[in-house]
Parts: sequence; structure tokens; C-alpha cells
Amino acid sequence: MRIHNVVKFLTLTSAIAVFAAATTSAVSAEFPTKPIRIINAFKPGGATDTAIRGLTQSSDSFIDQPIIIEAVTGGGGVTGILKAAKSKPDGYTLLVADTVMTTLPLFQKNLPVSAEDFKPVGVFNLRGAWLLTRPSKGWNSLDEFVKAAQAAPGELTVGVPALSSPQHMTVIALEDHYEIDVNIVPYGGGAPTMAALLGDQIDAAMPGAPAGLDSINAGDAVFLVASTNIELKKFEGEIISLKDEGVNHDLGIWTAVWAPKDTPNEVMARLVEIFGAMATSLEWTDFARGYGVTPIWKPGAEAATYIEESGKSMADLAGLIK
Amino acid sequence: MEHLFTAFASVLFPVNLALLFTGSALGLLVGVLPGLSSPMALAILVPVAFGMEPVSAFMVLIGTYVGTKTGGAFSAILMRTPGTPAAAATAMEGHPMALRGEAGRALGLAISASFVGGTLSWLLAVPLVGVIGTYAVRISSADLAMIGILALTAVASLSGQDVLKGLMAALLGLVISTIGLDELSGTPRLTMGIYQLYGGVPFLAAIIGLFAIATVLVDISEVSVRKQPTAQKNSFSLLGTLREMWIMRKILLVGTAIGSALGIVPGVGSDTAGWLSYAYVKRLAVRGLLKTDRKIGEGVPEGLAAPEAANNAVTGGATIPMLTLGIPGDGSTAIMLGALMLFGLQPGPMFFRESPDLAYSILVALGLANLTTLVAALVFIRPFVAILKIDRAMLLGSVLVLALVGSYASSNASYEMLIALLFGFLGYFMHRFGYSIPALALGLILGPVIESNFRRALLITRGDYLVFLTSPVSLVCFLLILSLAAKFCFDIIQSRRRQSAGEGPTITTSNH
Repeated sequence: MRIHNVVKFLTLTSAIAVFAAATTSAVSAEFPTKPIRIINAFKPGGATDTAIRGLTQSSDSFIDQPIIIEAVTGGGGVTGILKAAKSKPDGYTLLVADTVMTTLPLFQKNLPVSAEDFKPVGVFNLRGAWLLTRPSKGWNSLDEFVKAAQAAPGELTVGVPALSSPQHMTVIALEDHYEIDVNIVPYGGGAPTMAALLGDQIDAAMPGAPAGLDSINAGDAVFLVASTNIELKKFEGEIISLKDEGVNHDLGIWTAVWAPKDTPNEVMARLVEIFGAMATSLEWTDFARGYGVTPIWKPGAEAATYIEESGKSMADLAGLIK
Repeated sequence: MEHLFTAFASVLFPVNLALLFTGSALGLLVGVLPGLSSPMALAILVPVAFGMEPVSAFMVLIGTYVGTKTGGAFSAILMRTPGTPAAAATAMEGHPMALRGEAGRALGLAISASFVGGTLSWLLAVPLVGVIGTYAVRISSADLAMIGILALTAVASLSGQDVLKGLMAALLGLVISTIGLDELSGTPRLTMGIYQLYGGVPFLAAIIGLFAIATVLVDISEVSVRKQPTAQKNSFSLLGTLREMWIMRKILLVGTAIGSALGIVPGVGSDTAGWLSYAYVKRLAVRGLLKTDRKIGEGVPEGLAAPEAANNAVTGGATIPMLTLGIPGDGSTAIMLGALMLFGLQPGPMFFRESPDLAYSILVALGLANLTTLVAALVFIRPFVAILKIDRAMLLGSVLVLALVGSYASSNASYEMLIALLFGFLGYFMHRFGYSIPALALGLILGPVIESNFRRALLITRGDYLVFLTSPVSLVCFLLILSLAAKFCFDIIQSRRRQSAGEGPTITTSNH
């Protein structure tokens, strides 16, 4: 009886082992065969984290493996980016990062990692920075703001979420184009910047959309100009971009998925296919518009060109900072 | 008013109530484990909640948010390892209570004080929904800097046994807080070329080191003298707790007031509220105004109840600016704001007008979450107190492991464990030589608040220092700071005089 049981057990285990081996070899042709990990180098719950979680929520319609978002924070984002760069280039460890990939090296010298260590899988969303003011200021267009700034050089205060951010660069672009000089005040985040504007502590603010959207719709803030052409589901007015005003810079805040630079081409192609499917899915586009960002999809090489151009604009403007 | 009643009806719907309770229990668990924070738990929950009805989703989120505020007290009291930075002040009196065999009493008090603080601040906040929101944005950078300096002065003066040592510890905290990229110029400071320090000293790892690891080191060095905590008196009695709460009602009210006020002030939050109310109790004790024969630091129940009331009272103050202005008061409310946007809702001035059902439901849930958290926490007391029955030598090892895992989990980066260990040794030596660890921790917390707001205020006014005196808030803070400073000088002169009179130094040796 006992021997019989042992035999039964052995047969069963070997059967399972053989089956497992057979299925693994059959599937290994098809990437992915294990969970994909995406490192987010910035704080959980932030704009980048929300975006990637929104994008990957439809992943089970396209692949059988889960996608895990791992927050590796610290070192101003360098820790997570470095960890992703050093991971095995097999497509199972990716990075999600935004415009910071091009602005970080402009201000921090001797960083152990840069955008050169990665290839973009694709750019999947775009946000704009926008210049807002209070109704009590009496400026209803960018023109009127510029005139006020010309009349009082260095006097007007403009809040930005952080130094060296695309929002900061957008203010620099305005200063350069209209030959004005404003007092730029960094506030450490989009929310405090909006609070300072609504609380009458600064003359204008340049947060990233959608921060401030409701204040505009409620009439507590006045929209002047946006850094790029964006669409917003709930915004009732007309979005005027810097390009419309004749400024030759496109300063959108994009978010991209990246893979370490030695990732094999066939894996890259498969990744582009998977993320492209998610980025064009209804789940993501609905989610993005609801959140207030513009869903886009620029795969592989197209993304690389786009990122390079955006980086050039940022570098040009960074050179203008006094 | 009508909306408020409809909201009550929808929140009291059994499914929603169950979700609120689940959220509270989950929040408690997250709070108990060091390294897992409330923003982290919420970030993970948001995609899950996205699949639910908006009201139901917010039941889970609000429950978790309130639950974590209470959960931190468990590990603070039982292991002197604050589960959340906000609970660090709770450990000061709570852990000594547990050591002398009153863990059940301490937990009961902490939980009920949390409930009282949270509920009172909510009752205070609801009628003032409109007013608080508009007032919160009026607080300028100059005001914030002065509030920060006042909080630091108040705590530094009261937390050490020696005023000068307290101030030195606070200053060391301030210096450490300057490490990293300067927010206003982007220049790296004191980073020694180590890129891991660009984002500053990781705060949670530092706190875990200062409180948990330092305690383990102190305990190891004294293991032969210290007794195993007695477990038999660990039982918890609801009636006893209620009686105690009534006796210390005044202290609970002060804690609640401090918490509610700091909740509204953006960026200061619950960590500071806990310490500030602890400092208040300490001051009462120094003056001999407490009805206890124990010395502060030896497990004074009041010193545990006040910070717990205060850190839960923050929830009321912090949530209202989020709902009425779309401006979050802390990291957790920032994530809930993101969640609202996901549902296609835009919190802010229009929110209460456009979607009153959800807006008021969130408000009601915030109040009721205090109750569900209370119930969940009371259930947790008994199983958790069993931790103290574990042999001390085994427990110390587990605390060390938990502390290191916690510091890793906060960022998934291994260098944070090293930081926790370094701060552990720093905390050990500070303890040995009688320097106040809380004063250092508060320097770390408030350093960035004070510095960036101070410089921002000067940037806006182009270097006009009068900005720190012109607004009412700043002026009041300035006068209070002056009077505290005058008191230090007086104390120092007096102790010098006593010393020269031959009475010996007033610096008492450490209190263990």
C-alpha cells in the first residue's frame, strides 16, 4: 500500500515536471515569460506613478504576465534610474521617467547615469505647463501680462514647481522671447505653487496641467498660455500655445517607458508592440483624459527623435539662465 | 445640511461601512509596520479603487488614511519603533509604560486619544469647510518659516534635560537637513559627491535609526540590568481607559487643538504636531502640574495621549484644503486628490457645488473612519500585546530586522539601511551623553520647511526682512519666539548661578 503511494507520488511529480518543462520551452519563444518590472524613480502617487499605473492597467488584455511598478526613490531620482540602467538588458526590467531624463544632466554634473544608458520604448503621454494668473491682476491675455512685465522689470513674481523643471524653462522661454525679466520663485511642487497664486502671494504661476484646471473653470485663475499643444477634456476655454504666440520651442512634459540600452532588438520590437497596444487602448486614453493629460504614442525611433528635440530646447533655454 | 444627511445615509450603507472598516484595518496594519507609509499604501490602493464606485473607493482610501495614523502607535509603544514618523513622540512615554507592564493601558489610551483627536478635529472642521480653505492659502512663505522656527524653538527648549544640549541637538538636525540639492538654487550641498545624498538624507531611514536601532543598541548595552517587562498587568480595560481619558480631558483638547491647527498649515503636518503636544505635556510635568508621581520619560500616560490626539487631529485640518481648494495638506491627501481626478472629478472651489454627494460623503467618511479605526484597533490590542511575552533577546533581534527591512522598504534602495544604521549609532551616543533625540528629529523635519520658506519669502520681497514681522501670523510667532528665547537665557543664567553656589550641575544623568 505504502509503496504503491510512493510510486503514485513519483509518477505524478515527474509528470508535472515534464509538463512544466514542455510548456516553458513552448512559451519561451514568446516574450514575456515572467513578470515585467517597471522602475519608477519618483515618489509613489506622483504624476509619473499615476500615469504608468494607468497605462499598464490594461496589460492583461495583451500579455499573460503581470507588470509590476516598483518605486525606487531617493537621490533626486538618480537611485532608481541607475538601478534600471544596471539591470539585465533582457526587457524584464524597464524604467518610467519623464522630461527629467533630459533636464537632470543640464544641472547636475558628474551623474553616474544619463539618457544615453537607455533606449525609449515609447512616449505615452504629454502634459503642458501653463501660465496662470488671478482675475484681480486684470491681465486677460499673454500680451497684457508681457506689457505689465515690461513696465516693471524684475518686479513680477512667477511661481514654478521646481528649478530646472520644464515649467521653469517655459518661463525662461517667455523671458527670452519677449525680452522681459520676472522674479522666478520655486515652490517645491505644483500644489504649493497654485496655493501661492490663489493666496495672493505671487503675480502668476506656471504649474503643469492639469494642476489649476478647476481654478480656471471656477474663475479663480486666468489662463494665459500653455507650453505645448495639449487637449484637455474638461477645459472650457481655448488653449493657446507658445507656438501660436510665435515662440519657437515645444516644451511639453512627456513621460516615456525606457529599456536599458543593450536590450536586444527583437525584445525591443516586442516591447514596442506590447506598450503600443496599451497606449492606444481605450482604457488608457479614457484614464489619461480623465486625469487631465494627453494620451499620445510615439514608439521607438520616433520617440528618440522627439526626446532629442525636446532635450535640445531645454538645453538652449538652460543656457539662458542668468 | 441636507447634503450632509444624504451623505450620512450613503456612507452608512452596509457595503460602504464594511469598506470603510476594511480600509481602517488595512491602514492599522500599514501603520504598525515601519517603512510602510500611508502615501505608499494609498498609491497601491488607487488603481484597485479605480474599479469601484467613487463613493466606495473613497471609503477604502479614507479608512486607510485614518487607520495608519493610529497604527503607528502600536509599534511605537510595544517596540519603541515608530511605525510612522508621526508616532515617534508616542514612543517616548508609551514604551516605558509597556516596559513596566502597562502595554494594554498604553495602547488603550493611544487608540482612544487618537479617536478623540480625530473626531474632535472633524467636528471642528466640518462647519468651517469654506473658511479654512480660504484661510489656508493666505498663509505665506514668511508665515510658514516663522511657524517652523516657533515649533523648533518650543520643542528644543523642552525636550532635553539641559536647554543648551537641546538646542545643540536641534541645530545638528538643521545641519543634517541641509544635505542634498538646494531647492532654491539647485546646488548640491554637503553631498561629498555621493549621488545618493542628492535628494537629502532619507527621512524615514533616519527616524528609524534614531528611534528603533538606537533603542536596540541601548538595550544591548544594558541587557544585564534591564528586567524582562512584566506581562501580567498588560490587560486592557475599556472602563479604565474611559476614566483616564476623562481625567486628562484638558490635555487631549490641547493636543487636538495643536493637531487641527498644524493640519491646515501646508507642509508641517502630523510629525510636528505630535512633538509639539508632547513638549506641552513635558512643560506641565516640569512645572509639577501633572497628577502623576512619575518623571517624564518614565511612562507618563499624559505624554502619550497628547501626541496621539494631535497626530490624528491633523486629518481634519489637512483634508479640508484638499476638498475645497484642490490643494493637498500632506502626501496622503495629495494621492487622494489624484484619485479624485481619476474619477474625472476636479476637487477645488467647484467640487462641493458640482458633486455634492461625493464631496459630502468623503467628509462624512472622514469622521466615521475614526470610529471604525477605533473598533479595529481595539480588536488588535490583545494579539499585539503578546509581542511583549517574547524573550527580550529575541525581540531585540526582530526589532533590528524589522527596522532594517522598514528602511529598505521605504525606497527599495539598500543604502537606506546603511543610513538607518549610522543614525542608530548617532542616536545611541546622543542617548549616552544626554542629548535630546526628539530635538534632532524635529530639526530634520522642520529644517527644509524653515529654510526653503525663509529664503522664498526673501526672494519674493527681494531681501526685505520686514516681511517676517508684517503679517499677523508672523508677528505673533516672532513674539512667542522672543519670549521663549528670553526664558532660555533666564534658565541658563539660573542654573549657572546654582552651580557656582555649590549645588552641583542641574544636568541630570540619563534616565534609564
